[in-house]
Parts: sequence; structure tokens; C-alpha cells
Amino acid sequence: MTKKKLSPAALVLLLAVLVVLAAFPFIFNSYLLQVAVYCGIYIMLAVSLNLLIGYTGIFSMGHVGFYCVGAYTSALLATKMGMPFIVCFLAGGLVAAFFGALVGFATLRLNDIFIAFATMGLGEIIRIVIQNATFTNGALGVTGIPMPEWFGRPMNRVEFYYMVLIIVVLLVFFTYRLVHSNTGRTWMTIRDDANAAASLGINVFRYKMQAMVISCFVAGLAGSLYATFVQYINASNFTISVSTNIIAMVAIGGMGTVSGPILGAVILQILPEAIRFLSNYRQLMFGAALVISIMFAPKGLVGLNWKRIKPIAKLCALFESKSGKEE
Amino acid sequence: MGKEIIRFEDVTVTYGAIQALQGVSLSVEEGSIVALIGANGAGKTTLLNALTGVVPVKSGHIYLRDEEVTNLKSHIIAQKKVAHVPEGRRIFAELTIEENLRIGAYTLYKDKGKIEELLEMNYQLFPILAERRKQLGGTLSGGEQQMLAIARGLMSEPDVILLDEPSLGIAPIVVEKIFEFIVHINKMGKTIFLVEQNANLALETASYVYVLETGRVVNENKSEILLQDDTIQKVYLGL
Repeated sequence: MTKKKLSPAALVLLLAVLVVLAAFPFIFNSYLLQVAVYCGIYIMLAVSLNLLIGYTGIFSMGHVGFYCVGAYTSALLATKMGMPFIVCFLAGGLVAAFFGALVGFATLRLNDIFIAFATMGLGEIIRIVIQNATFTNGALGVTGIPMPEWFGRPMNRVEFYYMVLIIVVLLVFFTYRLVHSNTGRTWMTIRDDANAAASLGINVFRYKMQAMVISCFVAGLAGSLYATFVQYINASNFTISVSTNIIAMVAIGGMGTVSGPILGAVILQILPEAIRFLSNYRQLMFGAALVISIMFAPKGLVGLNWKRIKPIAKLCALFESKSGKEE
Repeated sequence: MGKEIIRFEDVTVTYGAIQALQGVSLSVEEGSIVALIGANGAGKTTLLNALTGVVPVKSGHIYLRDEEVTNLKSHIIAQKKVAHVPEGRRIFAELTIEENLRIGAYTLYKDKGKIEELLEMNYQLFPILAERRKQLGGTLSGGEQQMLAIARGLMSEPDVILLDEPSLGIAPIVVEKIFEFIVHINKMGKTIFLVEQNANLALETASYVYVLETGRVVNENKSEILLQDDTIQKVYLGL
């Protein structure tokens, strides 16, 4: 297997980004900190959905359902049973993964558009059940979700930001390793041609199921972080528009790449905030930005030929000449 | 003469109301090259797909080395030392050539040393693939993709290779080369079951040939004899 070592220049860049992210709370105000936390949560959602859409070719429109299950599991465990955060957090992921397995079992034998419809429907069903069930407090939602405790006191928002940052960095690292492993390659063969993959001895259903469970687990973790951070959730936080938003992040950033969904999530989280001054025209501009990126960057921002711009090409050459040797 | 490695007994496959195979019986002897010829829509690809579990068999039995494999799942049949090189090549366009080959050895994934050995063997067999090992599969020409598809099949160390239309959409000069490879691979001890529209090539390469028409085997014999057959000459060879 080909392993690329990072060049010194790339390492410096990576470190610089991490330093800026680490210094973030000292530079910016608490409103921007909140935007940053949402960015982190959406990075988790986009990266996990990308495992399905971008790597395995499962066009899931119901990702919000698993996010919702994770959020509610975590919130209910914390408020009704007083569980510590770490238990709620992991339980959020596990229960979402379990639901992912159930939904996967029902839908993963479908193809293309049918799986999109089926998952969209199931995502909505999850939300509607939660909205009407009594143990979830119905339409009132769950209130007073406590912040995680450590050193005998609740975490403040800055500390929460750091926790999300660490989780996201670990997740991205894990995803990178995963998609460059044998498992990742197997997923890609299924995405390219499921019949050919099966004829090589690959159990397509099992691998799709695996991708589904991992992806839903991460979505559940993101849900738990969201519920804990905003401290109040109700079913209307988890409509289908969240799913389409995550899909847009994956598509705009670049499907089937590690960095694409991260970029997409950051841009689509920050853009609506950045153009808030346009007030009434905000949605219009947001829509226009989407259309433009789909027209001019069909493979996502990562898929654009950036090297056409000379300074960027030079910068890239700096990175590649050093990394090319190691193989 | 060796023993039978593939046997079809009265196999029927239907697509809805349409009968694609209507009671086909045939057998392939170990170590031989057997070809199946027929026009478009005769059911040739369906027959291979029935064997590898891609389409369900409605009635009849399929045996691999005396073991019944009728309607087993594709990935299980692939573990029984059968490699299916599908029609239209089905290369994984977004993976490199080396990755395509490694995926071919999926059923041996625990045996790392063996995989390296097989890779080396395939690179020697197809030097063009060695030259381009880091290139994406989708960037190869049709003929090169066909070679890659065959090499990918060989990576699972099969006893039997099922080749579906290896000449499809490939320049005649390259087709000749590919058929030379097929004969070479057969000499390495692999049984080859070849499905081909190009009857001329199939009759020249194979030792025994079945003729399929609208889902039925209408003729079968040694290729030397079929080459002399009047109807074969008229219908398939255009003589």
C-alpha cells in the first residue's frame, strides 16, 4: 500500500492551522466561538455522510435521523437519569449506530434513487415519532441538558470548544486512515461497480452495512455534542432541511475526498453568518452561491483545478517535490 | 481427458415473462478452453451470470467440481476459485491499476506474501500494467482495461476463468494479443470458459464449442468439426 509521508511544508501548514484553531477562543468573541462549535459538529456530520455518499455510493437522505437519535439519547440520559457526559456521548453514538443498522438492514439492498427515498422517509419517521412520543416530551422538547462536568464543575463554553476540536481532529485522522485502508478501497469498488465487486468475492451488503454503522455512529456523536452545547432540543431542530444541508456540504466541498466535506461544512456554516447583513436577501444569496458552485465546480471545491492559478501551482510544487519521493 | 469442472443441468433463467435460458445443459472440462458462441441476446452473458450468482436460476442445477452452487451468492462463489471477468471489463475507474489488482486478490487478503507474488506474476505477464501501476484504471485504453480485467481475475488464483466477450469494443490487433494471452493463461493450467460473439476467434482458440441460440444450446462439438459445419459457416462465419 502506498503511504505518502507529509512534506515539511505541509506539516508546517497543518501545525499553523492547528495553532490558529487552538488560539481561537483568545482571538474571537463568544458568538464566533459558538459558530466554530457548530462548524465542528457539522464537520462531523459531513465527514460521516461522505463515508456513505462519497465512498460507498449509498445516497442517504436520512442522515438527520441518526443525528436526531444521538441528540435525544444523550439528552434523555443526561436529564432523566443523570448520567455523566461521557456515557451520554457514547450512548448517543451507539444508539444511532444501532438505528443505522436497522435502517441499513431494511434499505441497503436498494439502489440509487430508491435508497434516497427510503432513507429520507425513515429519517422523517424518526423525527415524527420523537415529536409525538411521551418519553421524549413530545413537541416541548428536552430542556436543561447539563454541560459536561469535569474537576467537579460544569465545563464552560471555551473548554467545550476545545473538546469538540479534539474530537474533530481525531475523527478526521481516523477517517483518513480508514479510507486509505483495505476497507476504504473495498468501499470504493462497491461505489464504482457493486456487481464487479461481488464477483471478486466482496460481500457487498456486509461492507455497506459496515459503512452505514460507522457513519451513523459518528452522526450520533455529533448529535450528542449538539444537544449538550445548546442545552435544549426539540424535534423541529431535526427536519429534512438538515439532511439536505449536510448533502450540500459534501457536494460543494467534494465527494469522496477527506478534505472536501470539512471545507464544505465550514463554508456552509460560516456563509450564512457572514452574509447576515444582507438580512432579507440572505436566503437568495445563499441559494445563488449554491447554484454557482454546482455549475462551476461539479466535483466540489477540492476537485477544482486550482493549479491553473500560478501562485497556487508554485505552492503545490513546493509540497509535492518533497512528498513525491516517499512511496 | 480431465474431469468436468463446470456442469449445467437443464438450467432455466427468466427475466419476468422472458425466458433467457431455456433448459441449458453443458459442461467444461478441467484444463481446457471451452467457448460459448451465439448472437446478441442469445443468453450468453446470462449463462455466466447464472453461474456466478448475479442472476437467479429458476430451475435446474449448476455444479462446480461436483458441488452444487445453484443460486449461491456471488461473493461466496468467488471464494471457490472461480474468476469472472465481466462483460465491458468493469474496471474500478477511480482506483489505480495496482489497487484494482489488489482488490482482485480480495479472497486471499490474509496472505500478504502470496498477493505480492501474484502481483509480480501479473506484472511480468502484462508489462504494460507494470509501467502504469500508479495510473487510474479509468485512464487506460479499452485493450489495456481488458488486460487489467483479466489480470484482476488472475489475482484470486482461480482454477477457472470466465471471460465474457473479451473482444468487445477493442481494436482487432489488440484482440489478437488478448487471445494470445488467453491461450498462454490456459497453458499455465487454468480452465477457461469463454463467451464470445466473434465466432471465428472463439473457434480458433477453444477446443470445444457450444452454440447458443435464444436460450438453447443448438449445437456443440469439437471446434475442428464445427469449423466444417455448413450452418456454422453460413450463420456465424459468413463464409
